[in-house]
Amino acid sequence: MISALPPAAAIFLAQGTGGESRSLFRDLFGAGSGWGSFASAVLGFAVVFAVASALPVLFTWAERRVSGRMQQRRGPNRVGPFGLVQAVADGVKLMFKEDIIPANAERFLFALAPGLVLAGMIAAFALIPFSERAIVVDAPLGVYLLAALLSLQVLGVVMAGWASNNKWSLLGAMREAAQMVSYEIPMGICLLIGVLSFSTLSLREMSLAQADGWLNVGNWLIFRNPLFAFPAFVVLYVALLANTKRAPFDLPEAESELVSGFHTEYSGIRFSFFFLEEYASMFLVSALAVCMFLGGWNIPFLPGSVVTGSVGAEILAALVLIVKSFALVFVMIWLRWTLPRIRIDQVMNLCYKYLTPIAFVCLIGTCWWELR
Amino acid sequence: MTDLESTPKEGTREIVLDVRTQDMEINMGPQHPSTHGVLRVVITADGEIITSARPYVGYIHRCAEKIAECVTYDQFVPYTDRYDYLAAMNNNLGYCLAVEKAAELEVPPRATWIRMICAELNRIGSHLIAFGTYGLDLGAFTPFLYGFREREWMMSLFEKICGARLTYSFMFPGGLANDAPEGWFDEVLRFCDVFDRKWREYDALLTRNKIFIERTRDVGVIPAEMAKAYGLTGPCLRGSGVRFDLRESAPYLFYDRVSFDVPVGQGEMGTVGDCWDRYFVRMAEMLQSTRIIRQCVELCLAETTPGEVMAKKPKTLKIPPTEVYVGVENPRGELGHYLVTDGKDKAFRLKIRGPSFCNLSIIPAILPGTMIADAVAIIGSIDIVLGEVDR
Amino acid sequence: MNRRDGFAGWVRNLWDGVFSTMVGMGITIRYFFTKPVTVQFPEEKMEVAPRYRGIHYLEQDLCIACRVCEKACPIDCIEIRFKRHPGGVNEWFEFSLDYNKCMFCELCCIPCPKSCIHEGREYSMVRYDRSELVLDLLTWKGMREVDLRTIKEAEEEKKRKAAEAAARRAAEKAKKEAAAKEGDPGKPRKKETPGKRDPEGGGDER
Repeated sequence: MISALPPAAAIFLAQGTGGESRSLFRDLFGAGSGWGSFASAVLGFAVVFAVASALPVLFTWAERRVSGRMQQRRGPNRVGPFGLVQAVADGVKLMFKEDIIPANAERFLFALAPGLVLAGMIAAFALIPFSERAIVVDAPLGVYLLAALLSLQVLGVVMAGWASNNKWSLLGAMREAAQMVSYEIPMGICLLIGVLSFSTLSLREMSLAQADGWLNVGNWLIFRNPLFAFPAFVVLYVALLANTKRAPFDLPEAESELVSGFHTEYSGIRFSFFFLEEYASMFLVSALAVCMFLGGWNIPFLPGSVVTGSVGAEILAALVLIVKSFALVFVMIWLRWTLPRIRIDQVMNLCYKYLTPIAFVCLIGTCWWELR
Repeated sequence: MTDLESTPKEGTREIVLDVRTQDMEINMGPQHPSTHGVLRVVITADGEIITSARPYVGYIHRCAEKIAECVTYDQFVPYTDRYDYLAAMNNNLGYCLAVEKAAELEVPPRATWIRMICAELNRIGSHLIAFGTYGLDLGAFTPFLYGFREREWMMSLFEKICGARLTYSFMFPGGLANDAPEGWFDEVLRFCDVFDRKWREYDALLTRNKIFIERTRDVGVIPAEMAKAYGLTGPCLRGSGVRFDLRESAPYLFYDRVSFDVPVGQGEMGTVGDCWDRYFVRMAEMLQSTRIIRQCVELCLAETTPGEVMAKKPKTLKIPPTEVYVGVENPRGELGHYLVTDGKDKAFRLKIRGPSFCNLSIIPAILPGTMIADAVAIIGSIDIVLGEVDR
Repeated sequence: MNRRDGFAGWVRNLWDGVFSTMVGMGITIRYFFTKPVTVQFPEEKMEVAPRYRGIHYLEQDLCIACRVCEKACPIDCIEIRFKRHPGGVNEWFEFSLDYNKCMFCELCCIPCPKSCIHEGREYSMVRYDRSELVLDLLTWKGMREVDLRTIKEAEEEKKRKAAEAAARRAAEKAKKEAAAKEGDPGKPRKKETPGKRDPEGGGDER
């Protein structure tokens, strides 16, 4: 599996730069030794891959079910209880479908693109701190690495669009490139606000720093610095929506304009890679926003000691993080089934005329707030 | 656009530019998701900007006009259902009025009232599809299903009166196939009340949505003069600010006995004649339709009694040689039937003037200069039904 | 919405965008908590209206095989084959409707003089093959017991009538002869009684 190599490499690389970080897998295999590091990377990759491919199954179900209820339909309800296994059935179907490569496509890039897109996303999963120690890689430069891995998608998408030798795909890829590159600016600035507030680049330390405080939510970034961090959170959320190509920013794949955008020519398993990537990255970016702005794994109104210390507490912490991320994912789904799609020039307008200035104001405001 | 293959002329040096850009020819349709059927538009685009567009039609041509010459007058009614399949009642009506005018049939008043109610109900149903698919074209999925929810009720009303849900074949030359069943009028009134409430929801969900407004305002502007020059009718013409509605300017049935407004585009969000105006004329017309229906039901119940809904006519209608033209206001514009008879039981010639076909003709004129995403918005705002474009 | 330039316009746009999104989200989330309006088709079925135009049914004992429906059909999807017997009895071979073509316009039901063909409330027409969609509406083929009896009675009646007529003719002839003998010109000759038609003929088969 082509997508297996880059994440493993990324994790290994991250492990190498790990420094004095703590991680469950490192603890298991003993930090320091080369083999232990390698083994923990392999195990970490296995866990991450399992999580990253299980989540889309849940989210596709959730999306179809939620959209169904919002439209007064039922959504999938045939395969398994409440149609929960529907996504698995769809995945199996996709796997057995014919893998079509258009005659005039650039075969190598065409085959590489979905793997690359998926690989970047899975590697990024390794950086999400589910609890104090349940983190595959606690890189000191975690936020940077995450932002870098998120922007790896654009490469795969442009590759897919160009290699398909289809005009719709090319247009989709071009839109994606413009959109992703632009939205990285407000996204980066908003991430910087988090970094600035907690004086760390490690997501794990950010989560730890958000424990306790007033009513035990006072240290969450959006409450700690409500004047500037809350708008920054909204801006980040919008930028992340654009980053994951979710509606109303789904113009790279705009099915009513560009047929299917950059993955028009993909079918079968290769298509399912793009599909997996979209849904897994929904969770990924939500978890990122949660770790930075919404208190990570901390439970509101309960002290930080509840979710740190023992293994049981850490499982609870992981569940809390997942529930919080699901809430943000739900909002993504909710938005998608409410809003029309934005046009490409308006996407740029929104980014450069609205989000970027607001993000800058928030950044400067945060500087003042922290120096107060 | 330079021809890349051409060899340089003798004595000249070929200058190779760093970036040679070339217009891209994109084939939109006939299997494109947003061309509302099997329309094919060949677009030449410079990046995202369209430089020219040529629509190609004819993929579902079914020879409706020729069939009219081969079947009797009554037998052609089911075929009229099928050109504008979203407004089958209105098509039935247009054809029946043409035949009745030629044969000088006297239609019972109750039939006329029920015809009006059905025509307006179908107008609501057709505009609901226009509203829903327009949302769909712009990426909003949910309004589509909300629209279908109400349309479903409208269709079950038709099912109660005529037995079919899409292709009604309800009106025949001379009157109707059936009288309205018991309780039908009450349900129609109930539908109108519920619909008016739901309409406000559509308004909040889609019409006033900022993204929707940004996508549609100042896009695909058709000035009034241009709209007239291209022969646009219906909401496309009224969206450009021209107050022309056959129900008002040349009343047929009993439209002169009910009061209603003709909404026209006013440039509320942008320029007069943009996509938003065309869209909003349709939305406003739906409210006018419920207003007409309420009056019709009241007058119908007050003036007529259940019973005769079919004129006295011979078993096989034979019309002496004559020529008539009857235009009716379909949801998409003026649907004209030009009927030439020769004394036999079949039409000598029937020409159908489809509103969608005429409205479609403006596409090459307004698409250039817009973006590909706008092309979808413009085609959607013109609200074509390919069944009627090709007939 | 009037357009403003400058910072006021910027704020206004931002506010419009956020506010209208909130309104839309309010509507969708309200429906999230309502019951679906859809029905699960194969298990639940929507009740169709009494006038629903579905698959036809034929009241065969009323049908006189006049073929009006066949002529009224705009697309010729009705096929009728029968043989006419004495006593108004039809021996049925086929009364089939091709549902590949039928468009349920009800034009066949309107002109029926006996109102014996109707469009029913059955609408499900899922088949594995197109040929299976040519449905025969007949409840019985050929003839029933009662038909045979009717034919027999009709034939007996015919025979009886023929015999009567022959007797009457013979009597008249005898009378005429007698009158002729007497030199009386007599009454004009009576017309022949019906029943001369071939009892086996009149069939109509395609």
